[in-house]
Amino acid sequence: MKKRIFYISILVFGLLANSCNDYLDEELVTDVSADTYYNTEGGFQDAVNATYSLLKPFYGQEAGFAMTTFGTDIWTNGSDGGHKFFNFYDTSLNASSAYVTLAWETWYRGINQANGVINRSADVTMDEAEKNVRIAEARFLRALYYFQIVTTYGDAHLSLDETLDVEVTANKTPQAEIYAQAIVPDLEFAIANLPEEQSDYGRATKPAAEFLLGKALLTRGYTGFSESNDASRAETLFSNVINDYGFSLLPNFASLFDISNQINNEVIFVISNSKEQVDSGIDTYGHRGHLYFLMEYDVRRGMTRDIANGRPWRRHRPTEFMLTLWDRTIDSRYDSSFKHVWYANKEEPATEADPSTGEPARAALAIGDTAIYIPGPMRNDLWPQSRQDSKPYIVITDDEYTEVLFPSLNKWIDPTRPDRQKEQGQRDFILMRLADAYLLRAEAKLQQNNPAGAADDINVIRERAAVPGQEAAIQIAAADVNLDFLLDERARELAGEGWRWWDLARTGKLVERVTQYNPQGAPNIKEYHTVRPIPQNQIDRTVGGYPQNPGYPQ
Amino acid sequence: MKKLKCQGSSGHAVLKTNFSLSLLLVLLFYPNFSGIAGLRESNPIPTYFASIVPDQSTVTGTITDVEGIPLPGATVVVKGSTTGTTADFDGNYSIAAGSDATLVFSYIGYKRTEVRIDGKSTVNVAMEEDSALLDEVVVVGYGTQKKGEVTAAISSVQAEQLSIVQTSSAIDAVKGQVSGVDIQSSGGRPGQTSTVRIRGRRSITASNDPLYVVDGIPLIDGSESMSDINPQDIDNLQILKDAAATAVYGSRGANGVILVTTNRGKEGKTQVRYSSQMGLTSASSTVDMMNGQEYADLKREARRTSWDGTIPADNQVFFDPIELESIAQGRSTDYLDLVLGSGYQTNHQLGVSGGSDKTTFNTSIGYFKERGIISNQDYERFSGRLNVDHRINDIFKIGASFLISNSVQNWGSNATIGEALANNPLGVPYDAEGNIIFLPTNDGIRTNPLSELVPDAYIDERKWTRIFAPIFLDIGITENLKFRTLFGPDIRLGRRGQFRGSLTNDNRGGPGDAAVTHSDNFAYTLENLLTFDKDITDKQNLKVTLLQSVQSSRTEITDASVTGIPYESQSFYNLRSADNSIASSRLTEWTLSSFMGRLNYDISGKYLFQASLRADGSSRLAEGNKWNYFPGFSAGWRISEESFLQDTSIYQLMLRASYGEVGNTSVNPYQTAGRLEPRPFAYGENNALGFALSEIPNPALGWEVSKTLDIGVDFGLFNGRINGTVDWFRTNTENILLNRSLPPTAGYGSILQNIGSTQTQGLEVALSANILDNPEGFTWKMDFNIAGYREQITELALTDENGNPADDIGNGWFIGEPIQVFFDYEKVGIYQADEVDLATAQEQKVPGEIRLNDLDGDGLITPDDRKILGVDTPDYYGGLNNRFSYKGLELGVFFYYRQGQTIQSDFHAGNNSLFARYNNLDVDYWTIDNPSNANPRPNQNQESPRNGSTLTYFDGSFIKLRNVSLAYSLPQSITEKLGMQSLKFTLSGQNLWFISDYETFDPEIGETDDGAGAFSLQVPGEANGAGSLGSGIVPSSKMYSLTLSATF
Repeated sequence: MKKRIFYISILVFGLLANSCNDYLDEELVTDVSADTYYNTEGGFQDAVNATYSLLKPFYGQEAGFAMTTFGTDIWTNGSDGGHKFFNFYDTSLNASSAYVTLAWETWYRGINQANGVINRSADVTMDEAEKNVRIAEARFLRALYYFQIVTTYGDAHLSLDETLDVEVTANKTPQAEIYAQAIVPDLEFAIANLPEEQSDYGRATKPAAEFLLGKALLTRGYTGFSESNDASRAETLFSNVINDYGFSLLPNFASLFDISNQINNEVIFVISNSKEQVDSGIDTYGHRGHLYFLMEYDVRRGMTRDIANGRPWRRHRPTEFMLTLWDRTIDSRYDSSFKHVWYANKEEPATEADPSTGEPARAALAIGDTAIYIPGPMRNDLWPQSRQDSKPYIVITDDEYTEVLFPSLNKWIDPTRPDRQKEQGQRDFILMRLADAYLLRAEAKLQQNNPAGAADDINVIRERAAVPGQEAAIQIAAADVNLDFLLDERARELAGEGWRWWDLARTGKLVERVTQYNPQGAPNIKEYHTVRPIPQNQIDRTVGGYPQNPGYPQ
Repeated sequence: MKKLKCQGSSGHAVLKTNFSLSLLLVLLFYPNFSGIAGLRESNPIPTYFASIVPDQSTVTGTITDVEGIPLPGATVVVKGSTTGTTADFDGNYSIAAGSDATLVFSYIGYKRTEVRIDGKSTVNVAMEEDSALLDEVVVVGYGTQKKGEVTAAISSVQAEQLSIVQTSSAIDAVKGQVSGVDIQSSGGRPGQTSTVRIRGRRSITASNDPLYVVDGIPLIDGSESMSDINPQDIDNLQILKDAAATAVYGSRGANGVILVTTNRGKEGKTQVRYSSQMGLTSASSTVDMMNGQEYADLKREARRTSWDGTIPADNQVFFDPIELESIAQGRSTDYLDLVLGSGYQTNHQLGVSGGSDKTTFNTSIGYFKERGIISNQDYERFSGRLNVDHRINDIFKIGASFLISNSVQNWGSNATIGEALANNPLGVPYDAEGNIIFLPTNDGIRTNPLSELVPDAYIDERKWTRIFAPIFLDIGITENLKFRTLFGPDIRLGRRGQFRGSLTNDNRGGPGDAAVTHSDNFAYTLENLLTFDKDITDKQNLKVTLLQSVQSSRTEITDASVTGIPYESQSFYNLRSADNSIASSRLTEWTLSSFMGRLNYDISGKYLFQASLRADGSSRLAEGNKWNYFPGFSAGWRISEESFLQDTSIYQLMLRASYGEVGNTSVNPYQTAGRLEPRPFAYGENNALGFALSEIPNPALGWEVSKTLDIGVDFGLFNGRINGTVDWFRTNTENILLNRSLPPTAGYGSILQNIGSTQTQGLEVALSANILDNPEGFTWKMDFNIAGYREQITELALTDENGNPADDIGNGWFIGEPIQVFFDYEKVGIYQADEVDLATAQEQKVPGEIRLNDLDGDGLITPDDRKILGVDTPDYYGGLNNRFSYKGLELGVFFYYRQGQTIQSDFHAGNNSLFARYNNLDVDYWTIDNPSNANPRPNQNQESPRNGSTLTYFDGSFIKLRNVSLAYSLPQSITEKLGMQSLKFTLSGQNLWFISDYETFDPEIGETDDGAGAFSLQVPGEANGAGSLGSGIVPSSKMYSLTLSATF
């Protein structure tokens, strides 16, 4: 019996030994939490990085292109893709549309992230000057996110504090207040605290903040709650950008889109993408603009898909109207922005004529021969059918464009992708470049009834774009300048760069121009389409509901 | 381009099928021949012998029970002959037998009795009641109980039930055999895990996977890791269903517990068992895709200028010369037929068991291999097991189980079926030299599915090594007081190697990529158990069980992946050579500490009571919420022990009631901490990884608690000829873990909170009947089970303005409805040519498009016109198993059914888009000349038709013939000559037939599986959205197989 008691004692001891208290403590090893990490210097820097990174899910992605390119006067839909309703303005453009939801969610996430950086900065011990710059960056980004929100959705939720607890209510603050409480003071702070240059490429700078504040004030200038000096302040801010920091227009318009020349004097602010991150798949966003503007070249005679020619998703094709905008005899920008020739990348034997289809006999193609040729606007007369039929290659003239065959924007072509299927490209997404600053200053001058000043700015841009020897011919006079001309000029310069829908919405020209120039969007567009619907999940999840924007199904 | 000669070509398949057919025919007839031969010979022989035995005489007698009550219908057989008779109404019998023969008496519910005649002419027998049925010991979790004294809802599965269906997994084998256990497999991939739901779901966000306890040790990775265990090593499964039974497992018991007991040795002669099975598999059902001509018509229609416009000339429709060539030649490719071949399954097991009075052992080795019906998918497992028990002296006993297994699963490419379905049938898979054409058409997206099957082109190899070794020490402190300590280490090592060559759908001609993932899990359980068992008086018994236990699990995952592989022959064995690499790793640890006490008390074995209480502390929960208590109570009344039921046909009757509370610990580790999300960013080319806010920390996160009330009846009628169990239950789950959706303006999508509740109410019936029972003649046994439950959400995070629970439409959760409902518009037809104005006014559509139901009749389709179209839970489900035997022949027919569930078919969303860029299901679609209401007009300007989701809801009801088998056991006279105890041949067919309205490979669908399983670098999320059938699913297979089993 004694023996038994002994055994039991040993076991009881064993039993007690393993029931100590810290056994159930949970230690976070793989992951990290805000409360422990953001108050360190490294964590604070990473929080700022994260604020930038939340720009990526929209810009350079199909979401961004669909929402800013479709449904405008200059772009209509190609054959493919599931988001054409942004072009049609039909009932599918509703509160449940994925991209309408994505933009709203991502931008509010960016705002909360910026709020977190700003709110938590007091707890971080680091070089005060550097910290101040980081706060200014966060406020710049918060202003950018709010500016996107108001220009896309109108009145919206405003919060300048990080969400720390379950938040199930939301306010619908008038845009005027969002400008007054967030966008303008944030950018004023950013201008006062950001350096002119940053050692890290892609961080916000003082000129970037001035550009953004200029654009915000210009935008407010068109609204009912504008302040009297919005346009003049905008003009001053753009003048600072143009004059004070050594930016200059590249001599050659085409070199702007040379992929080996991405860092150049014309760039003011970009969302930077790393080729290494993109190629390795760490960065799942990258710049996908190379996918969306290409026609279906890859199934034609002599052609197969390759990296250099790109992966043709045929989402956006030019409207007939856009193709009339350039006078190619004096303006180089159509030729620099669009692809005309596809060279055969596979051999093709000669083919017999097919009388049933009217297809003529065509000679064989060797690799490197012209396979497809698009003469482009103003060239139809040169290419009667008989001449087209005499060529071994296919010629597509203005009257032959379809949803799959159309002039293809080549600004975003990315021949450095590791394989032809790779969707993520390495390009930086350009948010601000100097030419745009000139055009926005012209717009600010026009708002102040100064067409002559506007013409001066526009002429700077046009002169750079001129066909060699046509520098004088391309100049315009003050009398030529009005808002429509300015919008046309923006199309000529910035086609496909992701501003068009906002440009038209800002200037109040959206409905007019879509009705006039976009046959697919014209039948359905209504005045209420100048803002997007509030996402259904915002409405469903807010306790007490959240008002839908007028016009959309309530 | 690699060559793939004739792989899966029809010639080959025909050859295989012919071979297998002839094999099957031979095997089918062999038992019959011997059966016939047996009849011819064995019948005359006894008569012949009888005639030469001189003292053949008539023996008479009475058969009664021990109390002298006659047993009418009891059988008497002369041992070693076929001579037999049955007792009359008064229990009297009369039989002719030799004076030195032995009579065998049998009767259901009574012990078989043998009596030597020894020259007597009267042999009376008093048969003893066979209480084995009720005295059978059942494992109940931290102890055992006699079956007749179990007061909770527990279903037992015996080894023989596990062997009905030939499969790699014990879980798959019990499908349809246990009432209230809903098991669904997800396609026909070899080695794929099934989804198991005991009594439905309770939780919306947390896991609904049951807990598996093998020889006392809870398993890691639940259902998935069960596949490491060879089903033939399992002696029995006990499925604890109600909360009183599972409450002893506290925080881990919410989804039911499956107790697995492996085979242990028995004292006596050493026994050697061998079994071998070989089966041939092929797709059980395939789908009707369009052929070249049908596809060409679809493409032409899709390019009609408008719904009532014209179809352009073929050269404006078909740009690919190969298409025009195929149309001209009438050529068509059936890719599905090319990729689906025949597979096989083979299973070998050798076991030895035996032992002395001190030491017993049971050991086995097993080999299982299944090659899928898609050539690069297979599963192979080696397993070995040794169970040893040794009695040191009167006080101490030790025992150990040791299980080791190694499995390799080749997952295969998800694109094989997807590409086979989607590829343009006008394309051509091989060139003139028989080489695979990688892009059969000039559509760059659609690659040749055969290129996925080229050896070594696509590899996804998952290897698992499992070592599981519980060791226990029993100490008999006194006769009534026993102590057991149990330590169970559980090691699971996994390696996933992935390689995707250039010519695969993933890379589409780009450079190859590869990845290696290692998963290393070590878990242990340490338990101390003290049991006191004493008869307090001669009528009262008291049993107390006390438990202290700790469990801990630590998982490390490391992953390295690269793109841009320079030479493909390296597969995933030289990652360093590639251009870009990403390395990642993660550590997941959790611990659980528990105390449990249980008290069993009974009076005369008639009134039974049990109460238990468990306390659990979990590391997964935040400080202050780590501990919780889980009580359980149950009571039973064995009415059949009462005197007033003694003389009735009611042989056994027990009424049970129980109540218990269990928790769900399945908060994933670290969910309370408010983790940051890493987000890649770069300044120029300088990496600048960001860490973004992504979770709101929730220190209040606590247990999900399920409270279950269960009332059940166990009964046996007509001396146990009919046995059955009926259970009704209601489970209320409170504080369920819910990802409470936040308005996006909060900056977060959701927060995990204990909000809301669900209720599940159900009825389960299991019946087994010995319809015919003649030990020497024909027998027919039938098992039938049916169960149904209703699941509803009773509370959610949202409340309306009055504070009442409100629907969460954003998440598709509705008060009073099951967790997963399908909420959408309803299709009423297609807008017809004369409905132009209606189509425009109502939906801005044109004829040929889907017409939705305008529920509120306001003439417009708005979100208010959505409704609940169906639920993914069945109305009822279960199985029916019939076994017929005659002499050594045995025929089994087993049906499995599931009725009333709705399926949302991603398969249709993907393959019926009527986009006419890819191949389409061969459906009836609208054209101006074919005013169908079934499917909309094809249109090249759509990736899917507007409101195309309305075409994806189906009634998923099915009945399957799960198994039909014919077995023949050689008579003992022959096996003895061969030196064997028994020898049995079984010919079986699995999944040969099913009936369902849902037209794809298989209506049975497990929950969504992303394929990464335990290799996922993310802390596993829970997919509770069943009912969605993916477009890349692998068809399930049917199998014909032959099994030989022998014991020596």
